[in-house]
Amino acid sequence: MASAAHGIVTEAGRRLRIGNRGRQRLTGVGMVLPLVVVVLAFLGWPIIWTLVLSLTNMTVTGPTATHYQFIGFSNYAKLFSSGSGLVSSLFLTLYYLVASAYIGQALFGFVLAYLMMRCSLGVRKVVGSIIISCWLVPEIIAAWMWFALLSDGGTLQQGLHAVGIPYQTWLISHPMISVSLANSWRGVAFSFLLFSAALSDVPKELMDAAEVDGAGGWRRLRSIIIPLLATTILVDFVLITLGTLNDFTLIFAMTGGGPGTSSSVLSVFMYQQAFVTFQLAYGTAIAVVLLVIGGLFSILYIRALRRQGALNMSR
Amino acid sequence: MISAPPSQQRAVFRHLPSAAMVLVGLLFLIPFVWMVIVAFQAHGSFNLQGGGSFTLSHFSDVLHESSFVSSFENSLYLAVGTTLCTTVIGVLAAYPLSRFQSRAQEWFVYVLVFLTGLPIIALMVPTYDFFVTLNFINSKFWTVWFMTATALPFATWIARSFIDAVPREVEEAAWIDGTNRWGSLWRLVVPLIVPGICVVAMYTFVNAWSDFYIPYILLQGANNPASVTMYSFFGQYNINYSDVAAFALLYSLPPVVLYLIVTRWVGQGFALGGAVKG
Repeated sequence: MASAAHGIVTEAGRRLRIGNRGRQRLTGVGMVLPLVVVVLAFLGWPIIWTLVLSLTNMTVTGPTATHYQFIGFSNYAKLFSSGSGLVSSLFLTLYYLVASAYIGQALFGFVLAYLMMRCSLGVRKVVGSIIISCWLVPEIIAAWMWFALLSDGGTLQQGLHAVGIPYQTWLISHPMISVSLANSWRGVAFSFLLFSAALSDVPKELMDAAEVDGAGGWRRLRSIIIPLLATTILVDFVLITLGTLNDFTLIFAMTGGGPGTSSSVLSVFMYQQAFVTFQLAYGTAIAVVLLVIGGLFSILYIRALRRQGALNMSR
Repeated sequence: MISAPPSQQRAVFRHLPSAAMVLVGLLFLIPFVWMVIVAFQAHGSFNLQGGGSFTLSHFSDVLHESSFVSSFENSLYLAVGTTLCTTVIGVLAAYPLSRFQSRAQEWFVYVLVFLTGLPIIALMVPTYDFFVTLNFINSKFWTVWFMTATALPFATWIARSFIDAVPREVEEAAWIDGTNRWGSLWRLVVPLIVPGICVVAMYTFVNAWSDFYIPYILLQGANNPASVTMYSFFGQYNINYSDVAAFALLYSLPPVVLYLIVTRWVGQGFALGGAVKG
């Protein structure tokens, strides 16, 4: 009886929707309109303007600040010529991605999530909160804490000396290790949370059955957990790649990209060219490179979500 | 020969993960411990030796320094403004994206997801130029709108997943009674997704409160938020570290507290599910 009534309501609702399709479409457009206006004005336009500016000779100050000209692909020619610093910046970006995102966040986050499943509730709550707090603290604060710990006379510098690692100014002798350490500390929570959620969805019966069949911990990890988590691993990989490409604050504040250009990842390199050497247009050419790399990973993200069924439209 | 009996071995093995995680937790705590100790020391510095006695004076120093207080006010303006605009516009747009089906809607969702991955830092140079041209530079109001635009794709995306979870049948009876879409969104859907809206608002607030490079590039002087003030302390060696630590501690608290309150209320799995599972 209840289900029949329910069916009638659904049927009537469906007809009603069809009946008012025109007005309904108008309502839908009205509801997304504010989003479209704001996003087009503040994201869409800057994207187009990035492409346009990269073809000009605009600077921050001087005569070409207002009277700039189109100079074709000169900025790109300069960027892709040897000695521009682009290649070393790309390598540093790759280093930062591998060290701080893939090893320090994804792999380490997975290990933490895996170990955490075997911990008592108390440990889970307390240690989980600590890891998440590192992620919630404003990035500039994380940068300052690590800056202070690794500086001359800093607590960590002295602590490392105590365990036999020679005294050094970490931010100068090993800038990439320093910022990667800070970024891993700050960002591991995201991968940890993502993997914790996915691991808790792995059916316990499956694990128990495998254990009865004599599969050891390593075998269960390789044959059950990793295949089941394949999509989560892909989503995590894409999201932390995008997050790390977009990361600027930590490196900018801790090392400023230095010493010299030894920690100038793409985002910092772009900032330096645009605002420090005042070559605004040249900076936008670097921004285009950043956008293209980000765009490729965004497409990968859409494909991963489609595989996961998250973009399923018939709901 | 000297190995422990099996039962004892198993007990050790069982407690190994907990022991490892406690160690990890302690290591992760080091930066916080340093910051908290320095903030309460009379003369804190980069190392922990000889910092002097316990005091609360640094917190009162920070709260009596008008430039510090106004930087917190600016952070609050940016974060609250961005959160309000983003949540309202995002939920409104998420509704048709969840409820209507068409080819256009499908592409809209693709573009939205694409934009969530956009490296915003790459847009800062043209945005700076754009703000200078329109005389928006150093305006907190327009900075809020730019921050809203950067937050909207993600906020709308997760709001959509919360609306997806509301069965259509809830609304259909109301449509028959003549309620239109705006009415059923406001009176039926919104009350059911209050926890989801809180999650959207929380993520937006935490990000906007912490944002550094957008205000650093678009705002100046008296309009700078706490993140930019914090940046000005880097590399200054003649400053009072304890004051900076107290400032940093006060600045760090709102996102952590907000996250704890919201996740305690809606459940962590729920908060996260909306954010990353789609």
